[in-house]
Amino acid sequence: MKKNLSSHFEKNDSKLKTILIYLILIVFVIISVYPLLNVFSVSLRSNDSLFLTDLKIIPDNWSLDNYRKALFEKDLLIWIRNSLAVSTMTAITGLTLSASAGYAFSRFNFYGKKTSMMLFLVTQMFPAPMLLLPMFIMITKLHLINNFFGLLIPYTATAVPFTVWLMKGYFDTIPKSLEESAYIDGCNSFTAFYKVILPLATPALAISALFAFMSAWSEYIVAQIILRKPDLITLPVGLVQLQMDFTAEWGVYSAAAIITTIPVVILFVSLSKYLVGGLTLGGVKG
Amino acid sequence: MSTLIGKFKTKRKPSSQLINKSTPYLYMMPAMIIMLGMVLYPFMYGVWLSFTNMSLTKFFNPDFIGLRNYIRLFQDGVIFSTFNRTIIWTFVNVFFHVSIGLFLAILLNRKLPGKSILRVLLIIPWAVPQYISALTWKSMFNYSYGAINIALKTLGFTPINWLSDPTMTFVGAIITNIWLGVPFMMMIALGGLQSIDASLYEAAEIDGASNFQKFKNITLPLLKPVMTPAIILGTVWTFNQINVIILIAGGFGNEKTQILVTEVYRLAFNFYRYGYAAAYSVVIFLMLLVFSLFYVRKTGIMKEVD
Amino acid sequence: MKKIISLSLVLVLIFSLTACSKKAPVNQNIELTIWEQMPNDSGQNFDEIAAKFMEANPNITVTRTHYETEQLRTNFQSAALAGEGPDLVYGPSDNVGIFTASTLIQPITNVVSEDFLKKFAPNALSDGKVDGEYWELPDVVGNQIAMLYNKDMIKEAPKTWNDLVKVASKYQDPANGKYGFLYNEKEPFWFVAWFGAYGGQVFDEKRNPMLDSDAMVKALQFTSDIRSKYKLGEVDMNYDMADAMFKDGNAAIILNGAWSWSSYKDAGINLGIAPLPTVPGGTNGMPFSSTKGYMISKFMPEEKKEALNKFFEFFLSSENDAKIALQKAEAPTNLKARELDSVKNDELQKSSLATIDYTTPMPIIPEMRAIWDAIRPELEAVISGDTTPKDAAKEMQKKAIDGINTIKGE
Repeated sequence: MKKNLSSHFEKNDSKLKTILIYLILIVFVIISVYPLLNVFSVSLRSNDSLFLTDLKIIPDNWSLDNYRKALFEKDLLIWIRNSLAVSTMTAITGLTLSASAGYAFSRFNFYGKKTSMMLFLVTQMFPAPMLLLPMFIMITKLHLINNFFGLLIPYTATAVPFTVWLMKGYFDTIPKSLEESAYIDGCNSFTAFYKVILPLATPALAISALFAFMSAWSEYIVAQIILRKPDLITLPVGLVQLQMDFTAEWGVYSAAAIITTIPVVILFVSLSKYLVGGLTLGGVKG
Repeated sequence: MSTLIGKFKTKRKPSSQLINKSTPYLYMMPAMIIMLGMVLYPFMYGVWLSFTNMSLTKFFNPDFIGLRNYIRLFQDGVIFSTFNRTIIWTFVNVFFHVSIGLFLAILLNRKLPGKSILRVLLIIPWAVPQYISALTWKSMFNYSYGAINIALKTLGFTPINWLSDPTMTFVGAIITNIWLGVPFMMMIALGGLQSIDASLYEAAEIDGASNFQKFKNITLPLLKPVMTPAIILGTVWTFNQINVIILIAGGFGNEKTQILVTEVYRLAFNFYRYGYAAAYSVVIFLMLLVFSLFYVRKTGIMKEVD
Repeated sequence: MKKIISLSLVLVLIFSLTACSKKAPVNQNIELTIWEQMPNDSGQNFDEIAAKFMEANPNITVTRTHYETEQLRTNFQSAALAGEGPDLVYGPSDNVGIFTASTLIQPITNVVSEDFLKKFAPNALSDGKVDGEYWELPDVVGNQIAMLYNKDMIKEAPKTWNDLVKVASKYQDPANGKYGFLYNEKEPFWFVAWFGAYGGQVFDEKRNPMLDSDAMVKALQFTSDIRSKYKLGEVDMNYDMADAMFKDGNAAIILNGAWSWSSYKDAGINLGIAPLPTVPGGTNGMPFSSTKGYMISKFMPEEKKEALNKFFEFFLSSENDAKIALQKAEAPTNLKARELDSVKNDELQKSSLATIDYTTPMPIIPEMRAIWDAIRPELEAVISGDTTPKDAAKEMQKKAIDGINTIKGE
């Protein structure tokens, strides 16, 4: 009996401590989920108000009509498709660039290394509103207006500074002896990186991918200035259009918001397997 | 340059000939090119703008006015109170992002049945587009109908005038932003915790270390390489956060709810003072640069790989 | 490292030099691009008219891009700096002042003839007039706020504030979510109606703000009295809530703009529309009215002129102008459209005409932004009791002057 328990819980925890941990986590879960439940509740109502005049999550005369409208009367599916495309591309590009740059920073000493590492951080410091105009001019001159690549480049540039540092930090925790033995086995630098080190860094890769994906998924300001064709716009832009000036259809908008979070939750659930992957991999012992 | 590729060179393995001076650059260049290509021109444009009087009537033909924007900026008394508010905003936000995030990550890193579900639910604030959640929070701050005041009343407290009292509006914006930022830090910390070898804790336990000692001597130092960049960038992002404040405060109207970067936005896009706003931006940039250099030096995260 | 930087510099330079100049279309196929900020249903209405137009003119394509109000303005400015952007901008006339000051648009008489302009209501046209030139071709005029009442609850529209208090108080029961009178008291666009009722004017002839006036003090006092003295309204009331309460039959009277009226009819409310009541010691509430219309980008290529003329003639014909105007209960600007039976017999149009007399045209000068920004925080402070109307009026004037100086670059 005791053996069984200890495989599920930390072995030294008392019952009280376990209960306390659950209680704390549940309080935080309620805080983190409540606003979304609020949105969910609005999405089930018909009166187009963002306000709940009662605190019931499921209102008395609830209906899924807003979901039907969001999916079939609005272009939500097109927006989701566009956002998925842009965000996936951003995640892949971001991951490739940052894993390799992070590796360089972790494993090599080279001229200009510190400066380069700082440069990545520095790019995030200038207030974005003032970068918008020249960036737009640049993308216009590159003829990337109405083009997903016009988003991919700035999105990757936004995501990469953080993910480079993240990857670098993680690679630092992987012992260098692993590459050395890979070299003995006949690997070159690239194959050692690709075949030996990268698989050990899955938690960091998973977080980096999630981060890059998310930064593209919810970005609005750049998207609304670069994409003009209705069949190209991404989710955030579409959602703002649903919530226009004085004629907002809050019900449909909320339904769309709920639908919007679903792909992210799916992505997160599928990535969490890799997130804990680092633990189960053998041979990482320092 | 002599330290280049350090250890590997001395090993003289046949395949290591493939590692030469250019190897690290080859790894780094793609990311660097994208970054500089995307940021360099806009940045220089912004700096140039800060020396001009580009504004509504000088839209296409701004004049070069030297340091006048900067001089005006420091003569303007409001910048100091706004600066203080920005520091409070940034510090409080980042402090809670990191402490709550780390706390939750440590709890989630334990063996707990059902923790994968809890983990997904805790990440929700990150999964919802920012302005949807900000608008929702705003409705929750409503005096008579907001969930927060209703909860306060139920618990026997007096309801708070969140949206009419500028100070409380600012507090509301902070609460919203803390809520938004915790999942990110939690994820980073969780990723970092995964990289810590469990045998270290086992060894410490045998030595009779307390939980706090284990946290202080094992967890924190080993999380540093992962958490430090997250904290630096978290600070930078929070410092330059616009959406939450504008959405919760309902615009730029009340200066008691504004921070430096919303002032930049207001000057540029409401008052069309592009030159002046650019000067503000350069000052913000320099503040953040100094902070980061200082922080990097203090934590020494750059040293260990030299 | 230096090499890398200079290499990237070169790359950036190459990027910025490869800017092609806009090529004139070789075939006669002409694309008219328009950026607009229409509500969703007006956009669909526009598309229907555009489809007919393109059928009649197969060599012209009309492309519409939607933005919300602020985004339309900033994106149009950014695009102009990059040397591109749409041929036409459609939106409210308050952008005219900003776009002329930054020389982003050209006078409409560069494209259409003086004769064509005679078709339109002169006061609507003059709403887009700056420095003796017309910069906007308006299709509708209105956008005014009116008093909306639920006829199932209120039999006859109250003419004075005291009448309103009498009939509305019966329904005021906030504890149960019922209200006699509601409006979003913190929104300056609504507040200026009370300011106008006490004879207040935002600018003098020299475009100086006039916020520190007796009218302002009275208007602020009245706004604050609505809740504290007359026990109507609700704390933190905003647009969205008042709108929902009225739609659900939980509010007897609200104040809302012409754009919203049809949505209440659709929601099944027995809708009455009337001018704002007279306030104690003042006249009727005097909200702003304004036009909406087309502005022509200064970068509009010469060869599109003919197509553009065709576009205007089609979209601003009496039938089409009426179609656009009917949808949002705004008055058409085409004088002949006003004579059409469909317009004359429309209930909402009648209400629109009945209330438009009790409005002031909204100033379109760029300084207006400073006025809005100056009013809002002080208005909030008066409502929450943090300041007195007198102090607030003084502070508003100070902020307005500061703001205007900032806009002017002084």
